[in-house]
Amino acid sequence: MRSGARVGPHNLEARDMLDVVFLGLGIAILALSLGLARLLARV
Amino acid sequence: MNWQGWAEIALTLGLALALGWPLGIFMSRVWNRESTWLDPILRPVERVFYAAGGIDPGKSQGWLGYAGSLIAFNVAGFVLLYAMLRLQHLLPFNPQGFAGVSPDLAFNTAVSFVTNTNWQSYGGETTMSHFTQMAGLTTQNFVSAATGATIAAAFARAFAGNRETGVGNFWADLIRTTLYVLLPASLVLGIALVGMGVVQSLAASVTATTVEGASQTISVAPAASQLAIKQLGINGGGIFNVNSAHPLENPNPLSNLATAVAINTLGWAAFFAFGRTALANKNIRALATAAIVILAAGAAVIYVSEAQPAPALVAAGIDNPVYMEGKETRFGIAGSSAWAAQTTGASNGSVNAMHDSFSPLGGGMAMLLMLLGEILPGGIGSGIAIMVVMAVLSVFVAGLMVGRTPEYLGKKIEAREIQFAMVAVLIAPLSVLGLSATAIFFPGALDSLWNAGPHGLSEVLYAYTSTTANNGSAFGGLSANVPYWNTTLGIAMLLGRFVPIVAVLAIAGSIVAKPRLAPSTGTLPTTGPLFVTLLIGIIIILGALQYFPALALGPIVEHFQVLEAIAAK
Repeated sequence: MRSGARVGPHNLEARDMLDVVFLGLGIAILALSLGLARLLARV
Repeated sequence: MNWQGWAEIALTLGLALALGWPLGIFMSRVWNRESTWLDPILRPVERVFYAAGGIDPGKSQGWLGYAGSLIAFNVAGFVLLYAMLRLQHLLPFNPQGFAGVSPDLAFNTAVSFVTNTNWQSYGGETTMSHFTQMAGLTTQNFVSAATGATIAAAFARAFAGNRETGVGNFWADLIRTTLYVLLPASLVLGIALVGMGVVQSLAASVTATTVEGASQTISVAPAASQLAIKQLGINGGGIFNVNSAHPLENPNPLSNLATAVAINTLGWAAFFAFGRTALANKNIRALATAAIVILAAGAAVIYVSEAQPAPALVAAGIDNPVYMEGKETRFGIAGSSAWAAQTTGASNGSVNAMHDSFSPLGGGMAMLLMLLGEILPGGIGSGIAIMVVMAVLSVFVAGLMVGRTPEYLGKKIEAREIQFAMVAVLIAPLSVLGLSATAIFFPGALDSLWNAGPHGLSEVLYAYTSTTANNGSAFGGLSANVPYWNTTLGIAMLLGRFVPIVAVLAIAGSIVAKPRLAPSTGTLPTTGPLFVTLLIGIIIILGALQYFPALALGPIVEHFQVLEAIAAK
């Protein structure tokens, strides 16, 4: 790592952000399935 | 059409069903943790997995815990496969030097293999390294198939249970189905396929000299091992872009028959395993009867449609016997029709002919077989689970007609189960029709289409049907490897997979808590021809009501356009 490089979301490039978007989308829909399960459990 | 063609179709469909019976008994023993002849070899391996994962296989989970474990496992599989696809240039066994795939394709592909769909927006031999194929995609072929089986195992136990709370242990079901059913069956079929001439190599390519003296580079891959599980696991897709139309993946009629039969064998096995585990063999045989009747009718429609002269050639005054565009001459019309029915009746999706080139009614029937819910026999476990949901809806409709409380397999069916059943059934039209309509209006989305008019609409409908149904076959006239299609088709796969799974497990949770009732004089018989006819009616009416307007604008109107064009000449 070069000196002074910041670690974290600030030095993510645009193409890395796409990974965050697509990973987030997949995980979000799977999490929503779990949310649906919890909703059905209350019916 | 000839009798040999009909016999080939009957043999393909019949062999899969016949092999499914003994394998189903074995699968049920695996689900029930009964002894099997593989125990001396596999029980120690199984214990290693339990010890490594801290799993108590005897601890039965409630349906919510079971669903949570299933979803957590799939989140992990999705993230791992996504990372593998993006980083394949840094990983071993990449003799072709393929780069990591784009983020949208990695999303689509990871979702596709985790959901047992195996929709491929890419050409395998030009995109994926051997490592990705073997460690990523083939691994998911095993565990996504086993995930489907776990749903049926839990659902079947729910019917067998009497005022209980647990539906089984997800991790034990997953591990046991993979170890005892999928791995041994794939090993046997994989070796047999190598013997039949299917390529199995870690080399990048071989060089051949053509008859003209030119040099030709031919991609090779570890195809036989993936072919075995992608057929037996009802995954679909393939290492080669044209799947089983490729001579290295499907070299001869024997390999064609073996792999076509393999598509549906474990799907039927899951039917019979469900019957044995739920203590309802006769009832599930009735469901299998309904499924094979619809599947056989679908195969017949495809065969009759494809065994007609090609209309464009007729219009040009050229004598020709049958539609051969997009089909392998080695397999012909019957071999292509039997495969098309098997692959779309199951949630497989591998092809040995190009469905986009089928006649409008032939391609439309392939689409309809998927739209009926992937229950003919569908995926391993996921197919019988949705078929039982259809049976529950059928007894509910019958109960309304005769004014009695509906029962199925010894359990009362009440409002709660019907509500959950509707969630399982209605997500498909919401996804297929909603996403198709969105694509038609979304700026630029239709730039990926190679055809306008009704056939273009069919290509859009087929794509969302195939992905929502977790089938994976495609009308090739849609170039789907662009961000819009990769993203929305991925969403369709996730919705079509996990919403029904959650709804089915919720029904299981509700059913398992109920007392198991003995049949009374007021119980509707669910084993005879009357119930089979009712069930077929419910399945077809549901499919027709939900999708008929869209199908009328696609394959049906295209069929009449073809007739009109021929008449005009």
